[in-house]
This record gives sequence, C-alpha cells and structure tokens, in this order.
Amino acid sequence: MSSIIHLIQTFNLNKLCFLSFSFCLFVFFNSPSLKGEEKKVEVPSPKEIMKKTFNRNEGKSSYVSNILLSCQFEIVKKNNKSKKKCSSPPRIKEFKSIAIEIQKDSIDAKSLSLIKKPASEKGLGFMQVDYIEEGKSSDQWMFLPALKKTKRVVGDEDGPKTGSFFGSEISYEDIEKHHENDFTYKLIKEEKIKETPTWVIEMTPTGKKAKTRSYGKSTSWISKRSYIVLKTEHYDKRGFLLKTFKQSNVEKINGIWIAKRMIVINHQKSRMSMLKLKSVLINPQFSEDLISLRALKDETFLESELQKIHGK
Amino acid sequence: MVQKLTQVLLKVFSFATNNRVKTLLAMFAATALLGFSIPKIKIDQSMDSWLESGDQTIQVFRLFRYLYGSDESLILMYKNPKGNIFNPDTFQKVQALEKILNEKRMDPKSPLKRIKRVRSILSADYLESKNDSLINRPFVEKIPSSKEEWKKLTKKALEEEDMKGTFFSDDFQYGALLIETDYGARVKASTLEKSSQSSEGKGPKDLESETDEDFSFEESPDSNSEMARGKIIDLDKVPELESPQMEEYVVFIDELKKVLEENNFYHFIDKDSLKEKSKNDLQNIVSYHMAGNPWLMGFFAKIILKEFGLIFILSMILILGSLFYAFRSFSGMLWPSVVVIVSLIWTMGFIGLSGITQTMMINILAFMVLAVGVADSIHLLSGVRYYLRQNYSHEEALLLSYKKCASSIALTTVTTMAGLGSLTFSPVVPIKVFALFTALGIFFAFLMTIILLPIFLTYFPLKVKEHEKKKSHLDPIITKMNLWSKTKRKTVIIPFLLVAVTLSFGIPKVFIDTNMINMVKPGYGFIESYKTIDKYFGGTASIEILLDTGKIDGVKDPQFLKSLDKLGETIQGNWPDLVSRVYSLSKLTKKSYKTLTENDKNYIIPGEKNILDQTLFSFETADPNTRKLVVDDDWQMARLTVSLVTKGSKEYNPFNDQIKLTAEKVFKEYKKGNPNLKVHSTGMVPLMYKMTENISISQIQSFGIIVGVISILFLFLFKSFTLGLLALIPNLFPILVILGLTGHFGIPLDSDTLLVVPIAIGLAVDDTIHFLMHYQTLREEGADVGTALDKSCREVGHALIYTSFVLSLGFLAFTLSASKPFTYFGILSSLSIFTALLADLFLLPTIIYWLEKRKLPVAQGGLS
Repeated sequence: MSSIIHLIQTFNLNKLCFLSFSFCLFVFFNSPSLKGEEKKVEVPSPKEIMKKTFNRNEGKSSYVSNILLSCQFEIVKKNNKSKKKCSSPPRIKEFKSIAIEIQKDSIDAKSLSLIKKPASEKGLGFMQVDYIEEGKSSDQWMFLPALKKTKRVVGDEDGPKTGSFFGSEISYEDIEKHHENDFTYKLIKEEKIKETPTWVIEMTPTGKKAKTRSYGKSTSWISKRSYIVLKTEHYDKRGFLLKTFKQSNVEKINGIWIAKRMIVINHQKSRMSMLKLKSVLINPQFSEDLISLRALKDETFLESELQKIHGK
Repeated sequence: MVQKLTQVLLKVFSFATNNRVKTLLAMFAATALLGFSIPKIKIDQSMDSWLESGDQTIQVFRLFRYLYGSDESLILMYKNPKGNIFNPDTFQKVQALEKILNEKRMDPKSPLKRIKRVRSILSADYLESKNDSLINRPFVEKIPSSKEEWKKLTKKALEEEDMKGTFFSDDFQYGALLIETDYGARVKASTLEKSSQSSEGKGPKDLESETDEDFSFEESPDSNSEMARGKIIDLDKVPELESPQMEEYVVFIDELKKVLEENNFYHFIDKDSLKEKSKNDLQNIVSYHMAGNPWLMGFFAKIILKEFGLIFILSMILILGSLFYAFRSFSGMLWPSVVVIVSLIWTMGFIGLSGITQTMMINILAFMVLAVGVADSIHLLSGVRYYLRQNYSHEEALLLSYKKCASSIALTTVTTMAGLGSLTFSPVVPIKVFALFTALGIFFAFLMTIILLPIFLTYFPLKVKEHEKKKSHLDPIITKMNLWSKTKRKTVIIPFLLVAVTLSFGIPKVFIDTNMINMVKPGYGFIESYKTIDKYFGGTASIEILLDTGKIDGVKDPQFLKSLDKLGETIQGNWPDLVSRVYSLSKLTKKSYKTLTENDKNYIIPGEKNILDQTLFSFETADPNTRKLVVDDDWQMARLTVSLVTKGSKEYNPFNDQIKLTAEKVFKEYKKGNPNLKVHSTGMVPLMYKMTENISISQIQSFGIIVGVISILFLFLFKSFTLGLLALIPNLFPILVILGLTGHFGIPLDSDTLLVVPIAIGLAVDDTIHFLMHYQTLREEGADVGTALDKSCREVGHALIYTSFVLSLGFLAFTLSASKPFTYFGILSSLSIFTALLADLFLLPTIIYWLEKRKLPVAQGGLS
C-alpha cells in the first residue's frame, strides 16, 4: 500500500487525468480506507477530512476499459417520481486506458488511451507524459489514424480548463488535482446516505484557486468509513447549482474501493453524462515502453497488447 | 346625455367643496399610500420585454444564446497616436490591459466578472502545426524585439484570414480589443436551485430516493450505430434566460472605463480627464472608441434615461412660466402643477402596485399625464378667469366654469382613453402596457381636476386684476380670428389648403427606419465611434444563422460543411456592401485540416468522413472554447455568423428576409438526403430592428383604429354625420403636418418618433371637443351661429391658446435630449399641438360659417 500512497502523493493528477480519465475519477472519488476508521475517534477537522480525501492513493499502474455516454436530458414524471431521461440517443465513446508511474529521468508518469467507438474515431489515440518538475506542463500526443499523423497537442496553458472530455459534462477542471490549502472548509452537517455515515463539507476556493475555478462553492458528501466522495454539488459564482457528481456500483478491487459508475448532471445546460468502468485492473504488469509514440501509431499492436494486459 | 353628465359632475363638485377637509385628507392619504409603491416600479429595456414570451422569434434567439452563449460583445478600437499599432509600446499596453481585464473577469466581486473572453491581436487564437506539434496558442507569444521580427509578425498577421479587419485595420492605425460578455445568456436565477436551499434543505432522503434508475441513458441498438435520430429542439423547453437590468450595464461600463483609464486608455471624447495630465503623460495615452450592446445600454441608461429627469424639470419650469404668464396669478401656476404631480403619483403608484414591468416608454407616459393634466386644469381655470372678468364672484365663476367645462373635460378624457384603449390591441407588450397605464393616468388627471382643483380654488382663488377685466391680451387676436373666419373665409382656407397639398407630397416619402447611427446626436462620441468602427472593422452587428441538422453528429458530414462554406461565400458575395465577414465551423475546419496536413492546398473541407471526423476531433481537443462558439455539444446544430456594417432597419430587414431563402437554396441538395434540416436566423440588432419596425407598423395601424374610434365617438356625441366628419378635419391636419414634414425633411420614423401621433391626436381632439361643446351649448341656448362662434372663441379660445402654448413649450424641452428620436418627438409634438390650435381656431369656425351659408344642418343647431 505504501507504494500506492507514494504514487498518489507524487502524481500530478491533473496531467494524468487527461489521458487516463477514468483512473482519475476513481482516484478522486475513492479514497483509501484508513487505519482505525471504524473506531470511534475524535471528529477530524473538515480540512483534515478533505486532506485525506485529496491525498488518495491507487496502484502503481492501471488498466481501465470505459464507456462514456452523454446526452441532453428531460425530466419525465412517473408515479410521482421524476426521472432524468435522455431526450435523444446519447453520444457514446468507448475507450481503453493504461497508466504507469515512472519516477525517473524527470518523467513522473505516462498514460495512453485508445478510442474504440465511434467507428469514425476508432484507433484515435492519446498519449501523455507528466513530469516530476513542479509546474512543468505535461506533453500530449494524439494519433489520427485517418490522416496517419501523430501530433503533439499544445493547448492554452493560462486559460481556464473548461474544455470537456469527449464532449461529456466533465471538464478538465473537475478532475484537477487539489491541495488542501486551495479551499476553506465548513462542516455543514453529518448525515447518512444509504446507511453510510457521511460528513457534508462545503468547500470555498481561496487565493489563486478562487480566480481560476469556475465554481464559487462546492459541497461534498464524504463517507466516514472510506473517505469516498459519494456526491458533490458544484455551484457557480452566483451561487446556483451547476453540476452534480454522483457515483455508485462501488467494488473493492485489489483492496481499493472503486466506483464503477458515475453520473454527472449539468443542471444549467440540462445535460448529463455517465461513465461506466467496464473493467478495471490495478497494478497490472506491462512494460513502460508500451506507452510510446511508436505504439500509439500502431493500433493493431496496441490493441493486442491491451488485450494481453486485460487477459492476464 | 351631456346634461346628465354635467349633473353628475356638479354633484361631485358640491360634495368635494362642501367636505373640503375630509376630501383633502382622504386624497392626501391615498396619495401618500400610492407614493410608497413607486419604488416598486420595474423597468426592463431588454428585447424580451418587447414581445410576448411565447413569440417564436424570441424563442429562437433564446435558443441561440443558450447554445452558444451571449452575442453581447464590446469592441474597443484603440489608436496609436504615433502611427502604426504594430510597435512595442502599444503591444505592451494592450497586453497589460488584457492581463488586468482577465484578472478582473475571474474576480467574483468585480462587475467585470460578466466578461467571458478578451481577445486582441496578441491573444487571438492561433492554430499552428510546427515540428509535428499541433499548437493552439496566442497569436503573439512574445512581443518582437527586432525590426526583422516585427516584419515577420506583420506578414503573418496579414496572411492569416480574418485577422485584418478583426484585430487591426488595413492601415495599421487602429487595433481592436474584443470583449465578450455573458449578458442575456445566463439561465434565469429563478429556474435554478440556490445553494442555500440545496445543501441545507436537501437531505439524505433525496440522496436515497434518487437512484441510478432515475437516470435513463437509452442504449438502443439503433442509437449506437447511426445516430439516426437527433435531439428534438423544443423551443418551449429552452430555459428562460436572465434579462439584464439597465443599471447592471452602467456599473459594468463605469468599472471598465475606470480600468481603462488606470491603464492609460481614454475614450476619445473624454477630453476633460486629460486636461490635468502632463505632457509626458499625454504621450502615453491611447485613445479609443467603443461600441457594442453593453456600451449602448450603459450609454442609454446613463445619458438618455437620466436626461429625462432634467427634461421633465425643464418642461415643468417652462410650463409653470407660461402658466404664470397666462393667468398672471400664483394660484394659476401652482394648482395645475399640484394636479399633475398628484396624478403622476397615483399613476406611478398603481404601476408599482401592479408589478407589471415597464420600458423606457414610462417617460412618455409621464409626459402624457403631465400634458393632459395641465390641459384639463387650464380649461377649468380659463373658464374661471373668463367669468371673473365678467364680474362674477369667485364662487359663481368657479361654478359656472365647472358647469361648462367639467363635461367637456370628461368627454375629452373618454375620447383620449378610448384612443389609447385601441393601442391595447397591439401585439407589442410595452405598447399595450403604455396604453393601459397612460389611460389610467389620464383618468387620474381628470379626477384631480374635477375634485382637487375646485377645492384648491376655494382656498386660494384665482385673481384677476381690474385692468385685465376690461381687456385681455388675447382679446384682439381672438376678435380678429373670428372676423376672418366670418368674412375672409378664402384667406383662411386657401393657406390651409396650400399647406395641406404641399405637405401631402411629403407623405409618399415617409419611411420607417431604426438605425443605431441615428439614435444619438453627434458630439456624444456615439455616432463617431460607430462610423469609425464601421470604416475600419466592418461594424458591430451580426445576423446569426442556425442550421439544425436534426441528428446527433449531423454537422460532422462533408456535404453539410461544404454547403455551410458555400452559404458563407454566397452571402458575402451577394451583399458585399452590407456583409463585412462570415464566420463558421467550415472556416475552422478548413484551417484545421490545412494545419494538420501542413499543406496550404488543403484549405478545404475533407471529403472523407473519417478524415473529417478526426480533423474535427483534433480541432476540438486543441481549442475547445472556440468549438463551443460554432457548434453545440452534440454537433447537431451549426452556427454561421454574418457580421454586418451598421445600417438601418430599412437595409437589414429585406436582407434578413433574403438570407433564409439563400440558405434554403444552398442546402437544397443536402436537404434531399437530410429532410430534417431546419434553418433559423436570429441576432440581436436585426431582431431589434425587425421588432421596432413591427412596432412602428402596429403603431400606425393602431392610429388608424384611433381615428376610427374617435370618428365613431364624434358621430355618437354630436349625433350628426356632417359634424362628426367636420370635427375630424382639424384633427387630421396636425397628422398631415407631422407626416408631410418627416417625409420632406427625410426624418426617419421609428417607434419613438411615432409616439407623437397619439399625443397629437389626443390633444387636437380635446381642443375640438372643447370648442364644439361650447358651441353646441350656446346654440342650444338660442344663440345664432355668429354669436355662438364668437362666444365660443372667447370662452374657449383663451383656454385653447393657453394649453397649446404651455404644452408646445413643455414638449420643446425634449429637443435637449441626446437622443435624436426624442428630439424629433419634441419638435413634432410641439408643432402638432400648435397646428391643431390653428386648425381649431381658424379652420373649424370657417367651416361652420361655410356650412351655415349652405344651410347645412350643423350650422342650424344640428349639434343637439
């Protein structure tokens, strides 16, 4: 476990998330169980709770096969219950991702994603290299099979990270790595969600974070047992509900709690996205050379290698 | 009927005067109570306020803003006093300014948080392919330091499509900073959940009850393959968007100006602030022009709306002065003012109580109430003065005047209210609201005149000096007028006819036009800015064409994008004088493909679907913010922005009508395989123009109704077809004057200028009714035509001359407004009131004499 904790503590999640998106999400939402969590201890301060939540750990490497659905929704009332339903067929993306910690030659971590669906984007791949040096931007490459081109993508570094991932309601900002000093915290109440006791903590960004974040305030429901974030509500700067993140289908994989399903609702745009982790492997064995430009360009090779990892 | 009315009114009179204290106290209490409701008045000048909420035009516009964000941008055009803007000093200043604006926009406490994006030549998005890298970076990464670098940068800027004319002018003298805001594009607060309600109100119950099953992502086999079905864009389901208040724009613009000044950017007209600067400082100054809706709104709220207060005060002073001149008495000056003020408090109080949102037309409403209130009071006071001059006592004079005038005032109130009532059929909401509350205000003015004024006069009566009793300063004029209409009919009629014929030639030249440039007088930096920005940057307005493919990812189709590209080219080619630029996803696709393949020949839409898809994918990855501006999240609906040079509705409206047809034509082939394609056109300025034109047309139609309603009222009132027609002539004359003059002098008619017509009709009709009612009474009392006309002229003539004189002067105060339409409104109102007077005093008696000569019934007392 110590290696996992070490990995998380040194990872710049923001960079890694660009590629291994699902990995990031479960890192963010599934914090490790802590020693003595069942014992009755003194109530930690909200900052301590969030620190433990932020400093989550995961494996040294990972493999995830994902499906991401996004659509415009409408609220349908049935039996006095309202249900959010796609008003049109959802846009579907299927992709596989692998990530590995490197920690040498200035490289922090590498990750790679390969799109399987839709057909017109099949074989399209992303590769990302994150660096140890603090503040150094990660490098991202994209392989476009139809054009047979590999391109390093350099985005606007200073701009707010409002770009959405695969047209979903999750923006890069949502998976940004946070530091406990980026916010002020307030414990609003304690309550149970489906028998799970939670702390409800309000987070308000401070300092530089207040300027770069498009949310004015966020409220998170943190599981007292596992420090998993069960739900988060993000409010815009006017104080109106913008997005809700919810997750379910929680499973323990290799001793780590993973939510295999997450729903994001954008209340202001009436859009929602669902991310399903079809299969997750923590600490699978593969060579770091697999995450390279050469492999990125060779879809057949990459696909067979990913198959092998999955099959192991 | 008139007698019955007089009896009722006399009862009111005796009740009010016998219970003076009680009545005054009751009125005072009611006024105070209503006064407290005045602050509740809500004013909204946004486009939404002008149409019924279900109107499709506004729904499409709302959909556009919901999908792509606000189109309310500001263009700040800066000039380097030393010449070329491509120099280190100017670039550094612009860079510093951008930096601070970007900081402010992220600051939740700053009014500039409404800014969404700031762009200049330095920060413009630039997609570049270099050493196998796809880079989306600011156009200027580093300010050049050598001549060679400057040369290279200039060359690159000129090569880049749309850079010239967007961020710098042809001659490099001007640069432009584009400031995009979120005005009008934020979802209305009431439809959203407020934070406090949620985190505290919502408990675990909600969390437990809302399960995964409450989210349905239909994953049917067909949806996975072809995405055959798209989202149905239901215009009714587009959430309501916030409409910003005028005051918000003022705060925003004030803060922006402050930041600009702190960074040495000064508005070119702001010479006062520069006076204190030293020579050295002055060399550092960058002057700028500004345009765009937030600026326009800020300007209107700050200059035009605030001006109304001053104009109103000036108007009151002019009215008070002329009242004093007319009555030579303090009471004659004071009481009409009190009547008007109380009427206004009641009207405004009711508006506040009703909760109905008002527009800027509330100012015109106030003037209407003022005009009618003053006119009503003058009629009663003038009558009192007439009888005082006949040596009646104060009490007798008041009673006699009341007897003669009150019913006339009641009838004029009814006709004006009926005229305004016809405006309530208008499809335009603010006109309806205006008509409704103006009618109410006019009723209050009548009420105050018949209740309060007599009470006031019992406390402080009107005084007539002895020498005035013998001869009034208006007597010789009235005598002459009367003599002319009796003996020199031709001398009277011929000039009227000549004027009428001459003016009628102007009518065909009348045109309806709303033009930004014609809204404000020169000297305020407004026209100057619009003209300069038009010249160098091709205008600030735009028409937005929305193309709904009807299916998810429908835009990712080579045929669609090629058609979109062709549409842009066709529009630009067909209307070169009007269209300055077109911008859409097709241009960005071509640019991305060229950049990706690093081949200039590939500035095309890729023909193969998977190549196109991956080009678009890389574009979205590299520049997600620009993607959001040209296509929706589902890639179903594309947007084509057509930038326009500032012109009036006369040019825009036919263009707007044509543009949809052009789109249908260009997309004809595509539509064969994609029958669900829908084309919408929208955009703020063209929509505003279209609406103002509709308003103007509906106003003109309403005036037709007003004339009809008044004719019917006249026929009913005078029970004579001839007299009914006769009564119309002097009322039509001022309208002829207004239309003829606007036609001859090329004054464009817009919804503001056209407001003059109901005022002209309303006041002209009032004059006619007063005159004819007196004439009718005198004839019934047995007087012959000559005596009746002579006496009517003497009894009512004074009042007519006074009201016209007072109100003409009052309305002239409008000429001081910075707004051109309001200036025209002031001039035309004054002129129409004056011409209505001439027609009533000269034309009407002359026609009656002429009828008498021909022994027509009216002259023989047909009035009864």
